[in-house]
This record gives sequence, structure tokens and C-alpha cells, in this order.
Amino acid sequence: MIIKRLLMGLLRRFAPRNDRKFPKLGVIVQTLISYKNYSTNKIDFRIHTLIKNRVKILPEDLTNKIAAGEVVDRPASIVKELVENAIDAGSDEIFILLKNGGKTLIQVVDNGTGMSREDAILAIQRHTTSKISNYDDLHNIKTLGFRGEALASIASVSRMELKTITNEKDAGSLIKIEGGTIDDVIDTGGARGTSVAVKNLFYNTPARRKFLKTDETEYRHILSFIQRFTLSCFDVSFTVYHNDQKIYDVKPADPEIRLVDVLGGRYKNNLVTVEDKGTVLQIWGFVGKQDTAKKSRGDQFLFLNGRYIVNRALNHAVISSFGTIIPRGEFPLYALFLEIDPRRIDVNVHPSKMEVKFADERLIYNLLRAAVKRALSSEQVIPSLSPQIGVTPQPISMSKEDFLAQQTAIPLYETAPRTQKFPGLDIPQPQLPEKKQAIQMPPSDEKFERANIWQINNQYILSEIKSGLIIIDQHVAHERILYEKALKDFEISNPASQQLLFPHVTELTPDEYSYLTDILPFLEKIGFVIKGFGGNTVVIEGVPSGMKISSPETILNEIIDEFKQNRSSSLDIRDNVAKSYSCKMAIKKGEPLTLEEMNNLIDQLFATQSPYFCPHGRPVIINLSIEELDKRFGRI
Amino acid sequence: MHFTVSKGVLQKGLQKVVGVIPTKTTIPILENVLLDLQGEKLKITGTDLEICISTDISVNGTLDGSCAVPARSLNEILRELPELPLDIQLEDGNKITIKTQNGLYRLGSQPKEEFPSIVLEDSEGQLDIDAGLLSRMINKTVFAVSTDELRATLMAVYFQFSAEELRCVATDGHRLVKIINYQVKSPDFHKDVIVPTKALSLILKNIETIEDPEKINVNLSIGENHIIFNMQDTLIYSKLIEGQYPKYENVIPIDNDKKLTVDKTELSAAVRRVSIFSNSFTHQIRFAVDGTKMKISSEDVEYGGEGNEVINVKYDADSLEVAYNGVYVIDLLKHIDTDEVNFLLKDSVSAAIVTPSTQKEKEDLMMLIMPIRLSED
Ligand SMILES: Nc1ncnc2c1ncn2[C@@H]1O[C@H](COP(=O)(O)OP(=O)(O)OP(=O)(O)O)[C@@H](O)[C@H]1O
Ligand SMILES: [Mg+2]
Repeated sequence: MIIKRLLMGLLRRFAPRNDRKFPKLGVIVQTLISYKNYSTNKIDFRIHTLIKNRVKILPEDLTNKIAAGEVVDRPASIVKELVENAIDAGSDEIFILLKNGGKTLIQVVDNGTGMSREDAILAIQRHTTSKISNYDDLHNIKTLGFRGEALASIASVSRMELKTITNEKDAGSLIKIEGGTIDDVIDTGGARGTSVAVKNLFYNTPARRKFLKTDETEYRHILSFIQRFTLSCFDVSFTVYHNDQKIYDVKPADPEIRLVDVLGGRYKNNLVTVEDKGTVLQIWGFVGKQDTAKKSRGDQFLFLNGRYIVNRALNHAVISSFGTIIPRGEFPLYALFLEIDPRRIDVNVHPSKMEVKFADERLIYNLLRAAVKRALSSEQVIPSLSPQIGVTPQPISMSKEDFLAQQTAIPLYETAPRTQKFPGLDIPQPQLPEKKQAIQMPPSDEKFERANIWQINNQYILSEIKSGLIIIDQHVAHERILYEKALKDFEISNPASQQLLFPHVTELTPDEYSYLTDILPFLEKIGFVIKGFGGNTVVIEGVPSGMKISSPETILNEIIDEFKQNRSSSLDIRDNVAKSYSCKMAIKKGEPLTLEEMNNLIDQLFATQSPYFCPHGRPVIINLSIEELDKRFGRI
Repeated sequence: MHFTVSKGVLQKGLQKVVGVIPTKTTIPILENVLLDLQGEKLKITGTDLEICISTDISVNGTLDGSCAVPARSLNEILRELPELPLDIQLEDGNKITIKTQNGLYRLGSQPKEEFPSIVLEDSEGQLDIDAGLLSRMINKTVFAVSTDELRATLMAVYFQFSAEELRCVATDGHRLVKIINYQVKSPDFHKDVIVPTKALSLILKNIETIEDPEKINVNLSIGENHIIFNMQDTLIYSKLIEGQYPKYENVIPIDNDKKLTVDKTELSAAVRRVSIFSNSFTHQIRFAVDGTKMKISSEDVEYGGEGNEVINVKYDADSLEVAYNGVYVIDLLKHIDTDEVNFLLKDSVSAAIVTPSTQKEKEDLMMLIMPIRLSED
């Protein structure tokens, strides 16, 4: 019933005056019916493609306005572009074949509309697209692609085979392209759809090939892109092979089922539904309950009109709505879908198409935050919302309408287009001031107000906070910071290591040397570069970057010693290394600190997971409330 | 001790000395300046026991004598007074009075004997250098010294005097600057000394007050354990830092054959912007050079910030990606005077050599910067 209403509405919107002009109307309706819309308010924007599926060369004044820059820099971006094309073509079955992290082969096969031969030949040229045709279209983007860049860019740096069939009964085309020039065009047959195979990536640009990372790394990047598509296109099946192994096989499914399928069983029955249907902004999706929060990022997804986007402010909106129920340093899952009139956003910001500018980001921020908060509190995830934090739902939904009423009068694109063309130089214009604003905009959670801060006995830091006074032990505070950082560093592949101009040679005892061999892999993760120098002598060539280390050899000796002593206490080796390292590297008592250093220390301390205790369990902070002071002075 | 002097003259003299007075000290006498009047010359001296500055001013002396007075109080009262003649007199041996037309101020004082005196050893060599040049040599190096109290030898600039040249070197173990001037020769002696940063910044401050530093001569006299800078009416004595300066020559690479030439202003501006998004702990930024383009990027994994810019460069070697501490890069570029800057690179873990595109006459300026080893990914 609802679907039907939706269809009627859509048909009215795109109502053909003249059937000859829109011969594909049948296809549209077909496709629409085959689309199971799981969310009733989800509008499918990709209809657009189906209506005017003629590839055209964009006029130059328009290409100049498109955010230019590197479109393909690694296999993952190629996969992304090809899958976007498949989705724009209305496919509901997508196959992806990969070899060697995409370096040797990337093939994306879809069952979308396909292209006529003329269209296909044109499509691999630069600045050719069927998705926009004039300046206004650029500000009303309903498809994932719009620059007319991707196929051309990919073709120019690889050997490409494009096979496309619009109709099973007619002959399709197989086009072979090498480094951007067409080698061969032959007839072919088969089912409707398109297959693009990209082989020998960067074979003709050795310099760029060198920037590629290991197969494993490239493969991981591809996976994260594919994951995003599986999460936004619930009605599409994805089958993915890497080196002939099947890694993904997801069928069209209910969003919640798909999500658990793709991101893992931990989220089963642990999702909170978010829904807020405003007239202009619609929000729906899921956030994970607090127990499922992870210590690393990765399960945070924001989609805008079906497009995966990266946006710091909106990310903050979601994370901060959890308030303190999730400790800092842990990240809850979210997969949220925003639907907004494309005229109120600008996708043409960055060549990656993952950055978006909103007519009013602050409003979106508030709406999103309110929607997530409401969902969390109605599910009793947060016991009670303290009234002074954040936006209460009621006033917002009222002011929202007022606000939007005001806003509609102001056209979004009055200002000059932000991408300018420089002769012979296609560089995306840095958007730094705006980015910075976005960083500063969201007010941070509970911050300690540090107007006054003192160091006592070169050992304790004393600071005034709203409720009274805190006293911090500088050594254990720093220990906590370094300890958590070390544990985090163990998880990443190769951390930053400041290389030393003067390598430090130090001779160890055989005993120390043998302990060093045990803990070396961990020390390397923290940023030490230590090499054997014959016998029990080692040379330290690099140290954790951002650290003040007077004497690397002394530190090394101390860490080994500490490790040795802790060994008996049945500590896990990681924990032991992290403890030994943090204990020895932390600023000592008696070290004078500048105001800035004290402030940094406090900031970093409160960014840790458990700022109140050092790794050995000693207290880091003592709180002295005004009340306590009042009591002691006999006032109450 | 009794003399009259205009407020401005006394204040200017005191300014030159006051910088050496330690802010926190367990030896109270060091909070004083020594005033020593002989005829028409008043010598003002301050010290922190490592460094000592004294300067002479002309006064109308009526009675020779000396005493030590609290530097800060004296400085403050001078700041508050209008330009006036002052009559200053030592009374009862333990206070001085400052009289103006309608005011009288008294300050406790201490006898000269309480004030530490510096025993000068013999000088081993002398050298003249113009103040402008000296300040250039110091400015170009002092920024790269270490701030680590535990590594005294690196909290200093290494001066190497020889018959051919004067050479100044500074390093903090992550970067290094070497500047050679071939004009300044010391034919009679060859000596390498380590001069603490604090002394050098006091010298810089003094040179700044000179109008035409190129025309002013500074006499350097170097002894076994000290160095003295003597300019106009001011004398700065500093103990030398004992110890072995690192064998820096060994770490200057000779096989860096990848030459990168960049517009300095453009690079520095880009690095500044991109650095805003780097990790505030490591300040790590990346350079990815490929052909005529270089991408400068940063990423703060913990807080999610990132930035990048692409600039045009001259480069014809194999593409290379290397990371640095952005703060160091900005620092280095500040000390390049030419429009273009050269980077001589080898790989992503070895020192890069940074030089101006053309050297100043009779000068050779070279900086080294160690990369941050790149993480995979
Ligand atoms: N899988 C496909 N099925 C049908 N048509 C396709 C497919 N891939 C590409 N096309 C056609 O080729 C044109 C060019 O594709 P290309 O990816 O280069 O540009 P785009 O998608 O329009 O914009 P963008 O550069 O932003 O991706 C598209 O506009 C579309 O008409
Ligand atoms: Mg595309």
C-alpha cells in the first residue's frame, strides 16, 4: 500500500508529457516495483539515471565547476567507483572479483541497465556522463556518480574490458581499452548488465604503482568500501571473491538482518532503532547498545541520500548523544541514513564524493543528536537524560519547522562555486577554515574548566573545577596516559618512530639481552627501532615520536629491568611491557612543568579510559569538593 | 657611592642585565644587580653563576662606591618614573635612596662582597666579528637546540673556531643545523666550544638593541672554560658546557641523491595548514613526492582529523613518501632566506639535507632533519 503511494508520487514527479521522450518508463516502474523499500520514507534517488540514460559530453564551463582531483589512487577507490556505477544503473545483483588486493584484477559485474554501444564508447572518455547535464543538475544530485570522470580515470591507468548488454535479445558490446585508448570493439551476448574488468592497475604509471601497499592492506581497504555498500543497499545482493575465495555472499535482506550479517553477531538484538521523519530531513537507522561499543573505530556509518559520507561534526553528534554511558575511547556502532532534498546539500566538494556540505550543518547536527538521544532514552539505554545537556526533543521539532521555513527563502548556492580552475593545475581547493569550524563547533562533553592551575612541589597538579578542586599526581597521570597508548599501539601495524640522528649504542648483559628479545616486538610497536650490533650490544635508531627522551639507552635498561621484576606477577606480556614502559617513560616527580604541559597532561588524562587509577591501581586524581571544604571549615 | 643620572640612561643599562637574573633561585643574592661607581662610570652587573653580564653607563659621579640592590624592585620603580634626573646615594652601607624632584625611594642593599665575583682565567684566543654576523650565526642555529635539561651539551650551540672559518652547529638529536662563515677566521687558534643557549639568547637580545649591528664589533675571547662576548659597553661572560659534542660530521649523509626543490613560502604555508590536522602528540605530516607534484598530508587517527594539499615541486627521482614532525619542518623553513629550498633525500628513514637554493656569499648553511618512520597503511 505504502509502496504504491510512493510510486504514484514518484511517477507524478517525473511524469512524462511525451512517452516517446521517455521510452524507459516501463523499466522504471519495473525497477521500482522490484525495489523492496524497507523503510517507508526512503526515497530512491537513482531513478534519475533510468530516465535520461544518454551519455553526453559535459560542457567545459560545467566540468570546470566539478571538484577535480585524483579519482583513483588505489584499488579500493576503483572498486568504489565501479560499484557506484552499478548501483546507479539500478542493479540488484553485483559480483565483485578481486585478485591480489585488486592489483592484478578488479571486476565488477552488474545486472543493471547496461549501455548502448555509443554510450559505452563515450562513457570511457573524460567528462562524459548520463547523470547530469547542466549547472542546475550539479546542485540536485540524485545519483552516486556525477562527474563523468571515473571510467576515464580508471581506463587511463589500466587495461580495461567493458562488456555491456542492454537487452538479452540484442547484441551487446565488448570494448577493450588499453591505457585509455580503445583497442577493439566486438559483438557479444548474454544477460542484461555491465561488467568492467580492470587489469594490471598502474601498469603504465610505475611511480603510482609504487605507492600501493601490500596486497593485504589494499584488500582491507577494498573490504571496508564494500562493507559500506552492503550496508546502504539492502535490496542488492553482493557476491565477492578474492583470489578465487568467496568472501561475501549477501542476499537482499531486512536492514537489521543485513547489518548483523555484515558486521557480526555481537550486534544481534543489540541494536536501537533510530527514526525521525521530518518534512525535510529524515533520519533512520540503528545505533548499537553500549555493551557492543568497541575500542576501535570502524563500525560507524553515516549515509546521506544513499551515499556513505565522512563528517566529523555529525559523527560527534551521534557519539556525544551517548553521553557518558560509553567511556571515552570506546566507539558505539551506528549506521544512520539521512535523506534530504539534494538541493540542500553540496556533494561537489571533494573528488572522493565522500564529503558533503549542508546548507545548515548545525541544524542537521542538532536534529541528528536529538533523534539518537531520543532513541537511546526510549530504549532505556540511558537511564535519564539530564535536562541541561543537549537538546530536548520538544523545542527542537518546533523550532525546526520555523527554521526551515526561514531557510527555504535563502538559496544555498548563491555564492560563487568553490572550485576554481587554475590553468594547468587541477588541485582541489583546501577547505581548511570550514573543516576547522566543524571541529570546534560541537561543544565537548564535560570539560574541566582550567582557568587556574598550579604545580605543587613539582609533583602534584592542582586545578579548580566547577564542583571544587582536583589534585593530580603528575607521574601516575602520565603513566596512565602512556600505558593506554602503548596498549593501543600494540594493535596497530607500525607506529610512528622518530628516527635518531645519533643512534645510541648500548651494551646489555646476556640476561638483559634475552629479555629484550622477548619484548622487542612490543617495543617496536610503541615506536622503538632497536637493532642488534653483535654480541649483546644493540643500537637504538628510533624512539616513540612525540616523546622527550634524554637517554634512550637508560630508558631501555630501565624498561628491561622493570619488565624482569614484574615477570613473576603472572602478568600478560603485553600488559607487563606496557606497564614497564609507561612507568619508566612517565614524567617523574620533581620535574617542573609549564602551564601548557600541565594542561596537555590533564587533557590527555581525561581522554583515557580510566583516568582515576594508574595501571598499578594507585589513585591518579583526588577530588576535593566545595562541600567537603565547607564541612572542614565548619560551615555546614 | 653617590651619583646622578637620567632615568632613561639607567633604565636602558639595567635592561641589558636584567635578563640574566634567575627567576627562581635558592641564592637570594642572585636576585640583585651590582652597582659599582668609579668616576663617571657606573658598572651594572647581574649573574646566575653560569653567565654574567655587565654594562657600563655614564653618570655624574660624586663619590665612588658600590652595592648590590634588588634588580626587580629597581626595574619596577624605573619603569614607573617619568624621564627625570635621579640622585642615587648609598646610605649607612645597607640601603640606597633614589631622589627625584619631589619623590624619595629607599631600597635595601647589600655590600659588594656578598655578590659573587667571577674569577677570569686566561683567554686562549681572541677574535673580532661584527654583531650583525654574530647574531645571524646564532639565530640560524639556536632554534634547533635541545630543550632537554638532562642533555646539557645539546642545550647549546657548538662553536668551532679555526684558521679557515667559523662554524656553528646545533642539534637536538632529531634535526641539526650547521652554518659556516668563511670570512671569520681565527688564524692563531683552533678551538671548539659548547656555549649554552641562555647566554646566546642574552647576546641576541643585546644585539637587538643596537641600531646598526653590522657596524659594531664584538670581541670574543675564549678561555679553557669560558667565553666572553664584549660589545660596546657590555660584556657577557658565560661558562662553557663541559663534555663531548656529538660527532655530527659522521651523520651528515653523502649519498642523498634525490633532489627536491620547492617554493619555500608555498611549502611552509601548506605545512602549516596541514599540520593543524596532525596528531598533537607526534605532529606527523607526510610528504609524497611523485614527479612534479608533492602531496603533503596529515592524519590524526585518534581524533579523526586529516588534511592534505598538493603543491608543485621540481623533482626527477623515483617517487618517495616520507614523514616528518611538522613543527621541525616549519622551524627549518623559517631559517631559509631564499625563495626556493632544496631537500636532498635518500629514503623514508634517513636524514634529509635541507639547504637554501643558493648560499649567501662566504657562507654555507645546511640543516638535517630525521624522518618519522612511516607506518604501513
Ligand atoms: N555499470 C554501468 N551500467 C550502466 N551504465 C554505466 C555503468 N557504468 C558507467 N555507466 C555509464 O557511463 C557513464 C560514465 O561513468 P563514470 O563512472 O565515468 O561517470 P559518472 O558515474 O557519470 O560520474 P563519476 O565520475 O562521478 O562516477 C555514466 O554516467 C553511465 O551513464
Ligand atoms: Mg561513476
